[in-house]
Amino acid sequence: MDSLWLLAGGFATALQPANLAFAFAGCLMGTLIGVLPGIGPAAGTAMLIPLAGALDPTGAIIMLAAIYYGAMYGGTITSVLANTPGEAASAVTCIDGYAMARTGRAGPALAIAAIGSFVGGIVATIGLVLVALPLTRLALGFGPPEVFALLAVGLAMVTALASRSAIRALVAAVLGMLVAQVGIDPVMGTARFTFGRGELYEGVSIIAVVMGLFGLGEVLSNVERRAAPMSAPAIGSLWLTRRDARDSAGAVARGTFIGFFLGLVPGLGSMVPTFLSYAVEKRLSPTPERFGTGMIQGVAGPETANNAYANAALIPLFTLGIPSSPTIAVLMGAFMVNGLVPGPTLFTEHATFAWAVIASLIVGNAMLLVLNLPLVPLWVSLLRIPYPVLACVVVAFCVIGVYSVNNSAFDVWVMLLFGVVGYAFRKLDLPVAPMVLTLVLAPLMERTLRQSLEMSGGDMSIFLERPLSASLLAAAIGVLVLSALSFLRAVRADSEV
Amino acid sequence: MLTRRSALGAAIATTAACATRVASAQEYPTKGRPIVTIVPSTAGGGTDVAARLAAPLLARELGVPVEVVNRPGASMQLGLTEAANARPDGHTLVWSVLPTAASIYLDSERGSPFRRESLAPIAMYYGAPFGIVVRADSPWRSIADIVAAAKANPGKVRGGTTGFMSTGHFASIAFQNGTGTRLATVNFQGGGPQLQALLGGHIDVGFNSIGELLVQHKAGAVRVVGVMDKSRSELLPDVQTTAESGHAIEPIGSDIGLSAPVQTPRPILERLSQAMRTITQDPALKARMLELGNTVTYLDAQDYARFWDAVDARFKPLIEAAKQQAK
Repeated sequence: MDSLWLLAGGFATALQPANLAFAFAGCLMGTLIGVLPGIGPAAGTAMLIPLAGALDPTGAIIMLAAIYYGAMYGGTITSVLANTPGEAASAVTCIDGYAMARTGRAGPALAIAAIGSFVGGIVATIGLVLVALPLTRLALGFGPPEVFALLAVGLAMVTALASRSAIRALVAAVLGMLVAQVGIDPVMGTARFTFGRGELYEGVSIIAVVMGLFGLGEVLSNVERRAAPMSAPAIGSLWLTRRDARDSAGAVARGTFIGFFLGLVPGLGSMVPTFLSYAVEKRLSPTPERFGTGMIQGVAGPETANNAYANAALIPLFTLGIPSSPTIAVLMGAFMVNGLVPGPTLFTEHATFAWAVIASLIVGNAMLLVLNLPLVPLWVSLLRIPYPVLACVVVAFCVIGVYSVNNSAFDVWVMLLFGVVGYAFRKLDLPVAPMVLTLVLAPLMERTLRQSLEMSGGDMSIFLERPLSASLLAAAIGVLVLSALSFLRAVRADSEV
Repeated sequence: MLTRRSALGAAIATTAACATRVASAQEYPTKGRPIVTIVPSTAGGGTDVAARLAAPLLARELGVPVEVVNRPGASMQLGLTEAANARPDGHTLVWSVLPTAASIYLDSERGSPFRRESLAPIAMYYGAPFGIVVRADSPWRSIADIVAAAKANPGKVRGGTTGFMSTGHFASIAFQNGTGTRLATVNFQGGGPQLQALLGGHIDVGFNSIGELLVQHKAGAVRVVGVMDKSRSELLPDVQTTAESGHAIEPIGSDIGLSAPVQTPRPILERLSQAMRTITQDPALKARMLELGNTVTYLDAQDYARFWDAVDARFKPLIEAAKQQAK
């Protein structure tokens, strides 16, 4: 109960006018940063670190945290409107979100994303208050073998990203794995496919690939259809219907759960939870074949998981002082610039500050909802911009965004190249999402596999001796068998036609 | 027409270039023109925080804005290379991190265009010694305990590093070489993931910079059993050093200084070195840096260059050992 009292004290600080203003400014900036393709939460918070040093510490951290989860939400907007994810985590939202926009349902897609983000964010923050410490201890049990097994489950679900043909999804997945080989290998330090370019040492920039495959690829394939009128799709109702609400309730609940737990596991990154949530929704749906044509669950689940992840990922920073993602590392830097060292002592030495920040997470998430629901019509009206103009704007922002992540012109070239690849994929009817997924998973899997083997001295049985990794691997095999069965059924059905 | 225009353009460009060069040598820094200092790693990291603490003081000292720009990538190769190729007018500098910068060119397989000669050292800023760390509930209380355990089970004690060929990796190698032991080396991506694995019991011993361990040590989550330095750390006065352990373990730490492109005129380097001397005497900066586990240690350009050469000599064998161990 103590924590509730302390939280009440935190609210007293967070609700001070100045701190409210910081939270609002952060939410607004975060949304805008998220909207700009390429500039994701990591780049956005990094750009504002100098500002953080100049402000009062509590206000600065409240604002940076708001920018962080604001950007996680803002990334959805362009995913839905232009098939261009504002940040990598929103890539999976493109699949059904953009499909919804094309059938005039951009409004409900954005509304459910805002509501789901709110629910996910609030539940994760309450989790931070009530069960932070026991949960972090639990999450510490996830060593390299467990993380590897968890990623294997994710990889087994890759066919969930197939639009029609599982084989096409697998082709894209393998291509993603090949691209993931570029860079310094994590154990021997050997350069692979870097062609002597320092820029490729850390692999191909995922943001650049995502922007290219989704955003630029879409623009290229639309520009080609000159004969067809480029008019914006009809803008239907802006709000959720009763049916939408019913359809998404379960997805929001599951998304919260997935995002929250994966947020505690070190080093997963924000793409894994969103993708996993999408795959789960598709598996549980009675009509999986309709995913990709604008199913609201395909937006509700991942978007909720996204924000639940974002808020839950703050827990290891507060309790252990260990940043679990690049963005959180930036946030940790902001703490340090302000003379606050995150970690086990934060709650004892800087209690007022810590609880004010936690209370501000709740305030900020509510603010984000209040800010974004009224903005939905504004965002949707962007679709009224004639497509030739919109396309130019999208391309311009993609270039600026990708450049700004690492201030690297090389990444812009990578994006242009993958724009062409994305265009080719559309021509060949290959889905782009599985490629992005394996590109994200493969380096993580390689690293954790090799770390596990370094731990065991090369003995593979380490994966089976540890109960958690053994059961996760069993789950992965289960998923694989189920997918194979449904795949075979589909093949049989095809051959009967 | 075209050639005339380009000839004219070239002439103007040359004149302009000469003008700035003359101006920069005479009065430095150019009024109103900011000095860009490159941090070759990500925003929010240790070097970044230290650079951002120094920047406003340097700005006050030099009378122009001092900006901090992050150019991460390829274990600092990208940022360092960019600084090496910048115009040598003292307006683009880089925070050079040793031994990471040295490991770029000392590893001949890497074929990096960045060399020791690419940069002119200006001044050393601070050092961050490394520590040997175990979990708080570990039975090991001293370096001797770890050595005994590693000797009893060769290749079985799991030792984490902060990454392949990172400073933490060299620390692990220095420990193994100095004590005649062999650990099962597990390379993580940075100090955070390594610490997390240590707390979760996935590794038995870790090698990390003291700054990253301090909070956990004070909170009683981990125990620093050794400081890889010649003298005890002000922050951990009760912890023995590797030198005291009786083993010939090479001292390991990260040392960060300011450097400029190699052609930068001598007067500019001296002006900057002088500014660094003044700011490193600021008691508030020293105190803030110490909280982060960093010891502010000023060295002038000549001493910093000598220090750098010594690092090259000391780490060359460690780098070869690191590569050998991977094979």
